[in-house]
Amino acid sequence: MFRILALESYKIFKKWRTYIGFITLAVVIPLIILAFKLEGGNFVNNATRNLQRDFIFVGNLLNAWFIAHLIMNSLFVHIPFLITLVAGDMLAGEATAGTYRILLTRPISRTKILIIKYIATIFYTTMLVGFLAMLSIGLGSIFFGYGDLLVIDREMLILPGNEIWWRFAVAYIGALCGMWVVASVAFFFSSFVENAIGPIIGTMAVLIIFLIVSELPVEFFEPVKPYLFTSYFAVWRKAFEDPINWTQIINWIAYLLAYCAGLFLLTLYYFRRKDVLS
Amino acid sequence: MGGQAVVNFDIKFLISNLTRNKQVTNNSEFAYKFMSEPILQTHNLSKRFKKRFAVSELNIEVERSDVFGFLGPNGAGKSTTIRMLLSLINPTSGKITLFGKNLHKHRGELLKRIGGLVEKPDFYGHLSAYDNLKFIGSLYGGVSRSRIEEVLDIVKLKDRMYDKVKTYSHGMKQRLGIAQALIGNPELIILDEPTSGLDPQGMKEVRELIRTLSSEHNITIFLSSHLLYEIELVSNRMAIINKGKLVIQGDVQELLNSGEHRVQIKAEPHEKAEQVIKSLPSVHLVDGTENRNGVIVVYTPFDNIPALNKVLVDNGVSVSAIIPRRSLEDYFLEMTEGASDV
Repeated sequence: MFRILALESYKIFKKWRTYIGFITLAVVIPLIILAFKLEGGNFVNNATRNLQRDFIFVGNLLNAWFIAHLIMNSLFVHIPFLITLVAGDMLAGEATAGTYRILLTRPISRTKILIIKYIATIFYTTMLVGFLAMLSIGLGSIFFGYGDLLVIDREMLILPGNEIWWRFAVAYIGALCGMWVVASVAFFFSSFVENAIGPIIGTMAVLIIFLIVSELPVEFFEPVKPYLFTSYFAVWRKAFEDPINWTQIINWIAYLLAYCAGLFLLTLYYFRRKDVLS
Repeated sequence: MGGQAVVNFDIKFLISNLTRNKQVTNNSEFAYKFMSEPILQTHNLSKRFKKRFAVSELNIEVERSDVFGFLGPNGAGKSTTIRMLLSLINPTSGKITLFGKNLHKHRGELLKRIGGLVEKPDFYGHLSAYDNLKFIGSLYGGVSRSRIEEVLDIVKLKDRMYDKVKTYSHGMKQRLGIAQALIGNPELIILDEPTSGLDPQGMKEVRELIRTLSSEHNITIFLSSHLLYEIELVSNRMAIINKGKLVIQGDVQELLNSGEHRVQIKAEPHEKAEQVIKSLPSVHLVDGTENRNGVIVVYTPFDNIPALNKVLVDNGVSVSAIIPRRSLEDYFLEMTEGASDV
C-alpha cells in the first residue's frame, strides 16, 4: 500500500500542473513581501492611526507574523483554485488519459485505489498549505524578523510574540481542514467525469455559491448556513481571538473533517459501481 | 489457383454461410466437447446500457493454451465483453468464471493470474516505460527490476525503457501495452484489438509476438479483433459475436472449412456458364454487378470447386479462373454500403 502511495505521489509530482500552485505561491508571496518592505510601514501606520492618539506602539509590528497573517487573509480565498487543479484531475485525469484501464484491471480493489488516490490528494493539499506557511513565515522572518502580532479584524488586537507559534499552528491546521474539504469536493466531482475541467469548474462554482451564501448577512440564508462547509472556513481566524473559543474551533474542525469523510464515502460508493467506459 | 493460399474473407460472409447450412445454433443449443480445462467461461453474460443490450446471454469458453479469437464487427460487443472480463464494467446479469472461480467473488485473486490490454494502449505519458511498468507492477504487490527488463525485452523496448512514453510511436505503445499485460506473469492474456491502428509491419510484429507468447511462454491468449484474417493467422479457436450475441464458436480451421465459399468464376461464354451453374443444386448463383465484367460469383462448398470446374468444362465452357474470394475489403465495403445484418 505504501509503495503504491509513494508511486502515486511520484506520478503527481512528475506532472507539470502540480507545480502551478507552488510556482504561483512562490511568485505572489515574495511580491507581497517586497510590497510590504517598500510600503509596509505606511500600511501599519494607517491601520493604527486612530489608536496612536491614545497608545504608544513599541516593538516591531511589521514582522513575519503580521505578514503571514495578512497573506492568509488575502490568499485563502484563492488557494482553492490551485488545489482543484490537482484534486480535480486525480480521477478524471485517469479517465482522460485512458489509464483507468491500466489501473482498474489489476489485482487491487477499487476501494484501495481510491484510498491511495485520496491520501495522495490530501498529501498534495497539505504540501501546498505547508508551502504557503513556510514561505510566508520564512521569508517574512528574513525580511522583517519576529515580534508581537497585530491582528486587524473586527477589532484590533495585539497578541504577544510568545504565544504566536501555537496560534499559527492551530490556524494552519484549521485552514488545512478547510482546504481538505475543497480537495474532497474536487475529488468527488472528479470521479464522475472523464475530463478534469468539469471538476475544477464545478468545485469553483460550488465554492463561490457557498461562500456567497455563507457570507451574506441575509436572514433567508441563515437556516442553510450550518450545512455549508464554507461557513467553517474561517476557523483559522478563531486561533487569533482572545480568549480562544476552543470548543468552537474543535467543533468547526470536526465539521470540516466530517465533510471530508462524507464526500470520500460518496465518492467511494459511486466509484465502486462505476462502469469504466473510457 | 490453390484455395489453400486464400486466407482473407469476411465475417458476415462466414456467418451467412453457416446460417444457410444450419450450422449456427443459438447459445443454448450450441454444444461443444472440450478436450482440455476451460480457464475462461461466461455464463449467460449480459450487459445493458439503458435500454440497449451491448452483450446478451453470451456463453463462451476458452481452454488452456488456446489462442482464442473473439471476432465481430465494430459495435458487436467485443470491448464490452472484454471490459466485463477485466472487471472494468459490471455485468447486468450472468457470470464470469476464470480458472473455475467466480470473477465477482474472487476478483483480486483471479486478476493476479491474467493480464489485459483494452482498446488502445494508454499510459502515463509523462513517465518512462520503466516507471509505468514499475507503477503497474506495484499493483501486483511489486515486481523486480529484472522482470520489468525481461518483459520490455520480450516486446523489444528495452533500449527505450527510460524514454517518456509520450515520445513513443503508436506501435511502440501497442507493444508496451502487451508488456504491461505480461508484467504480472499471467496465465491468460486478454487483448482487445492489439493491432488496431498499426501499419502492416507493426501488425506483423504484434502477431509474431502473440505467437511467441503462446508457443514459448505457454500463455493462453484471448484476442479480440474485427479482422478475420488476423484471427485465422494466429488463433486455434474462435467465437464470433454480432449485436452482442454469440453467433458461433469452435475450432478455427473447422469453422473456416465449413459452409459455402464465395467463388469468383471467369468463364467464356459466361451466359452459358451461368446457365450451367443455375442447373447445379449445390451452387448458388449470386446476382450482382460483377456479372457485367464477365465474372460470375457463386456460393458453394469448398470441396465442390473441382467438380464445378469439371461440369463447366464438360459443357463447353472455357474456364480461365476460379477464385475462392474472401477478402477483408469486401467486408468493409459491405459494411460501408450498409449491407444487411447477419
